[in-house]
Amino acid sequence: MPNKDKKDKYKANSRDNKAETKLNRRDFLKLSIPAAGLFVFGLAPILQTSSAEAASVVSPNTVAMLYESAKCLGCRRCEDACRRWNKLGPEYRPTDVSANSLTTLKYREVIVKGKTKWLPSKWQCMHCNNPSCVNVCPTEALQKTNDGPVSYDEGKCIGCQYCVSACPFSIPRFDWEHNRVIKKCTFCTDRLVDGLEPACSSVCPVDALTFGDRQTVMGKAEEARFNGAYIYGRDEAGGTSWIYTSDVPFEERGVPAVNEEAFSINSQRMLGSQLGTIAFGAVALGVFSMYLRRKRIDGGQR
Amino acid sequence: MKLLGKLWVFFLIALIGAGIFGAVKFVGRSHSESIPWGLLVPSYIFFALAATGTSLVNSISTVFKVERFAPIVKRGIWLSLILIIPAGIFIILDLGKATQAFNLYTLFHESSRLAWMGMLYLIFIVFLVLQLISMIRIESIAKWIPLTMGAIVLAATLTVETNLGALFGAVEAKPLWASPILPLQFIVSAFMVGVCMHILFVSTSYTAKGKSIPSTVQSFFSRDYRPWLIGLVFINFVLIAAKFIPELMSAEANEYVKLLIAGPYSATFWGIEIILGGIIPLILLTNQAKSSSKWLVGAAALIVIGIFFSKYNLIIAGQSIGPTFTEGFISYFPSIYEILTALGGVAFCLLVYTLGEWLLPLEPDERPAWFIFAKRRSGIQRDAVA
Repeated sequence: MPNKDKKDKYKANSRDNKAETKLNRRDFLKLSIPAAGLFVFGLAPILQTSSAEAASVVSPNTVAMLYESAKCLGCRRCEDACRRWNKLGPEYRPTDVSANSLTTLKYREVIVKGKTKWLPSKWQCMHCNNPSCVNVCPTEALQKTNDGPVSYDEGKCIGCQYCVSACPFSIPRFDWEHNRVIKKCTFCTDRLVDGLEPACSSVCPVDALTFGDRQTVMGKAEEARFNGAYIYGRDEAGGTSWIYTSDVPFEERGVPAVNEEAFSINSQRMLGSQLGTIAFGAVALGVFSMYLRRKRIDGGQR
Repeated sequence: MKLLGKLWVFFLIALIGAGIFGAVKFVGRSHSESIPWGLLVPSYIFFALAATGTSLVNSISTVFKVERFAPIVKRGIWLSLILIIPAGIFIILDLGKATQAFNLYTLFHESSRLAWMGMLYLIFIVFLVLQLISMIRIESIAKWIPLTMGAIVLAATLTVETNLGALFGAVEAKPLWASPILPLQFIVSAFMVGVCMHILFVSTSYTAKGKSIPSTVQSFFSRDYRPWLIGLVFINFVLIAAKFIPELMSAEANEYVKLLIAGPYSATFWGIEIILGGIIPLILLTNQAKSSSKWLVGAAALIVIGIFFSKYNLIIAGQSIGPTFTEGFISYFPSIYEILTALGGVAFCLLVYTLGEWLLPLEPDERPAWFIFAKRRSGIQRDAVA
């Protein structure tokens, strides 16, 4: 009799075991189908990357600016005009862009043939064709306009500083003293609507800054490159609306070397990784739980 | 309430007071920190991972129905809910214009992971509250409700974790962050912290009440959680290696990785993240002679510290090299106000947790009797007497 009891108990255990295993498989299948769908969906953004790269080619009619650094005197009139137009406070010879200085002249001291030379470089938002700051901005405070400039609306900004981290040129700066939001060059969009050129280029005494449509600006830049000049902004970060030319390599001017791929493309690729990881995580957790349930049953039998 | 309980509450209130003072000073500062995202951002990430990680561990019971974890599931959900509070406090305090924070919802920008973060937290919190209520009132509602809530919370949990990883992983301008492995690394970190939080809070709750941990709970702590933690610490090491080894070969990321392995952050990387938060817990967990719950709690506490510093190292070191124009290393050490704010946030979270222990029927045999989900008043009195 005790033997029969044992047998019955064993049978009941195996039935439970089978039922539990069957349920596990069903649960797993239920989970796998949406997970697999999610994974395939996750691959789509990766495949779309090439089309995103193609989309970063901008219309030749958008506005652009050519900065010929070899012509630049380093007089800082552009800085002053920017400060006055944007009603910023006075600042004596800023060394970097800031909330109070949306554009600045930076100098690099180099020694050429025993002589000290000071190389100026104007620095401000490069107005990328496919801007990373716009991609990461959670509130559309930063937007790429159809005309080319990356505009900025202070009223929408929450001051998260994500754009500060995401910009390959480290341009957006936080305004601690006044509004506690971001400040950056807007390409003087408020002047462009009235048919005026940006404040900085309007005052350049030696025409180192040329404002115009992208086709004209790129034509001039390519012509300079044909004559031996170095060019910056055509390919950097997927291309920018500001194009620089220089008689010396840009590293000597201290202009940062930036990858040629648009930085926002990484964000789309990451979506694939993210969705794939969600699917992987859900399936892994399901499989792990299946194992845990079996482990309990085995333990019970022992 | 016992004297120790009163002292604990007074201590937390004092710490919250210090935190408010710190937060007022921190938010009111009129100067820039050396880097945009300071101590409060890694603290936010840590708590977001802790909350979602706890929820991930809960899902093994709530969604995948591994019944032996059921005795702590209500406490687990409550834990997940209160751990998200400091994350929210820290991120709002870190915003320059918190008064416009609602723009996250009204001006939602779908390509921004920060915008998704706001949306996902809202979904996570709302469904977590509903899940807690459904688990408390499980006997008086249809069976599909807790399961559905659990599934939605699990989906939100995985999405929050990967989104947080992608938020940093997508920033190509910061070579230490830009890595497709971050979403996976964040899930593993979250799961680790989740298991540790279960161990820490459940053990402490029983000890504080002068009760012993139920044998069923004790059993799965040592039979399940202990081997999980050993496995997770290993996986975490593999992921750290998988991230850093290719970065050592990359010209851009190399400089940042050097900051961690042989630079200013090597003390927090090797000393805290690897040794204190990884190797020592591994020794404690694998040593059978020290397999008592005290050692398990100790190992869990060290892992939690290790994971906090892993996020601190990632976020702070990732911002520590400036653009070419302002070349060189940017040093950063949190101000006293930031530290006080972080401590205040932690204290607030602990205070709310303690209140929950008094008011909510978190034990498996406790039932709601007052309002929608609070346990009966006499229950509170009984606890107080005990």
